[in-house]
Amino acid sequence: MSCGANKAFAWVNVRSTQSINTSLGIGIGLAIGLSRKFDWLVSPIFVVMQTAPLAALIPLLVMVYGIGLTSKVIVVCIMAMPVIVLNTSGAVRNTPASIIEMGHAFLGTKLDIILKIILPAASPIIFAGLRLGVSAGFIGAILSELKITPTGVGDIITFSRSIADYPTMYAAITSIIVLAVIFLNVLARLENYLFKGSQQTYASE
Amino acid sequence: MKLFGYQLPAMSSLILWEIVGQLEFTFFLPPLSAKFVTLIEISTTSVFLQALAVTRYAFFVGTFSAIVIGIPVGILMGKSRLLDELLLPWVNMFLSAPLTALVPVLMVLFGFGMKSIIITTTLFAIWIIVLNSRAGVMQINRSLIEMARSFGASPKDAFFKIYLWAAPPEILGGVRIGFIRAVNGVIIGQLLISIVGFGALFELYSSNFLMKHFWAVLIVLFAIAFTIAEFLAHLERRVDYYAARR
Amino acid sequence: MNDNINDIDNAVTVRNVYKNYGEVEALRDLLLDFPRGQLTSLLGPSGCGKTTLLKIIAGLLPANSSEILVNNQPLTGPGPDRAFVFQDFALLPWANVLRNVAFGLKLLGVARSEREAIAETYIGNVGLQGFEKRYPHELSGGMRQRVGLARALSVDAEVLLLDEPFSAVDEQTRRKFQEDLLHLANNENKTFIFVTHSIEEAVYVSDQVALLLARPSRVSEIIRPEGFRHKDAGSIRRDPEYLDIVVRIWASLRTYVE
Repeated sequence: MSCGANKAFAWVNVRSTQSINTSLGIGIGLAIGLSRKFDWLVSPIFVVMQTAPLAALIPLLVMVYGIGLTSKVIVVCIMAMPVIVLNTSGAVRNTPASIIEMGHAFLGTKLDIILKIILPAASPIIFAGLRLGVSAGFIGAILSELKITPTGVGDIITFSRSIADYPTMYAAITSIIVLAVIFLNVLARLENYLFKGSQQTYASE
Repeated sequence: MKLFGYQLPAMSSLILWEIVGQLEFTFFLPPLSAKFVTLIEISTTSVFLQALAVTRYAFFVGTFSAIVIGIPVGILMGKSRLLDELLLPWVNMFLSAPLTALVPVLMVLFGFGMKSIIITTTLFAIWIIVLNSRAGVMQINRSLIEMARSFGASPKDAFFKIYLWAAPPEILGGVRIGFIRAVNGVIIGQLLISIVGFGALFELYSSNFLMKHFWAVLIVLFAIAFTIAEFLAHLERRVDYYAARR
Repeated sequence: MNDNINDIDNAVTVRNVYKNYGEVEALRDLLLDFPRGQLTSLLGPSGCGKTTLLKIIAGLLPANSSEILVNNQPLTGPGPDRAFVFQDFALLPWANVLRNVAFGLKLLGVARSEREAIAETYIGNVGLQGFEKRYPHELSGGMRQRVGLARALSVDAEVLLLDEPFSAVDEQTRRKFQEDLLHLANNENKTFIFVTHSIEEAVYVSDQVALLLARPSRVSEIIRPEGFRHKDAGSIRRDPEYLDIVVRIWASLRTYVE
């Protein structure tokens, strides 16, 4: 059962990394969406990161930093950040002008308007970005396990394939996918809980 | 962004970042200029051209199948409620599932060759194309379809003359994102399944820590992906007026 | 009523307002008074700067230069003395009716229980009892605008700014809204500034109609329909003076249309 414990540990790591990245990504995206200057300075980097196949970097990163937390953070970061950041900034920029104006008319402060209008309005698209980002993070993490390290669930898959123990291999793969899907479901629940009734259509349409 | 009254071009801040890169914080990021020099050096070698050919083949066959299968499936899902309820959970799951975990299954089913790499590429690209085509169809104005039916259009007519024409903004958006995802897919396939094409080059350069070479290849891939994505984005903007008319 | 404007207590006075959009001159040297407790319509062809002027008064748009007094105080930005009703409703799609109506009070820092009680009252006043827990996408256009109206009323501002509030609702609802607005203007001691492009609507509800002409916008005429103001809502549309004024306004506007 040491394999199982190992696996669980590795995945907990990925998840905590994901949540750190998530808040960082949303923060950067928000800043890009709100500030022209920041947009000019930072968003090209994320555009490049999203388009270039940075998955190629993963084996190298793991080789240099080992399978520790550092490489996990970097892997999840380069895979998950671009889509989270770009989705957030796009959604923030596309907040319907009339509800922002409404906020001004009813004397909202800058902070009020960001917290009570812009972020809730952008939340469906931010969460869509999170789903994609989380899955990209998983893709990167599994790639590193399959490719390099003799740890985690990737190793179980590689090993059981090499000895043609397909039931174990399928079980391992299914467990990963189930884990990812459960994680994404929790995310969807959170979204529903936080922004109940928020349909993706706007009342002003 | 404006500076002294001049409009700065969109990607110009990358020059600033290049200067930061020159400071050499880490060997991971050699300066862009060095990368370009290396790029010119290796781009004429036969190893490089061969890798380009192999990767290009896998990439285009993979994305082509994703488009040819993905768009009709998405349109049908948007049209038929039954099909939609049947397929949508699966499409959503595969869109967000860690697809790398499925690559070993492909190796078992389709062997260690080109076939598996192409299917990996398709798997990376297809789901977003399906979803976006579905979304495009669902946004079609009902009265457009009723108009076609009132003029006696058969279901086949409606499919080719209305649905396929009315949904392009979303479909093109899906294809664009699909292309970008496929670039990652083809490289992951080449790294995991069989070490060929650019995957092999990455493997070679990274095991010898030839960072300039590594980044030069990455730039080539970025340039290809970026050009295609920008071209599709351009097409998207040209049909943007659709969205306003619906 | 005294027609000499200088003797009237004005809630809002507008002087020397200039507004350019790039090269285009939208407003030039605009001058207009809004008497307290009365309903003033801004009427004119589309693109004549009615909404621009309204948003400048609301403090949402900066003018290139202006002398605007609200309650004899110079205008500095949005303030609690003015409330805005939006043409496209500007409701928060993720919030239910109750929270939407209470949103203005929330931004003013009113405690939750208090602001929900106030919102509840105004939801009742606009006839939306029982819809408190509904979301905007579940409501018809007319009901959405009632929410927008309740939100503006609940902050209890002295001046209500209405930007073509009925243009996105159907004709029958619109007539009902016009009657409701008349009652509101008679019963609440508030100043209304009402932007519309419907001549009948403007004459029907207004104490004072300001005709604006386009590019650059300026006030061409101020009409005060007084003869039928005391009549009940149903018989105004048959009043000869009402019909005369409608015809007269159309006669002076038609040369500017097309």
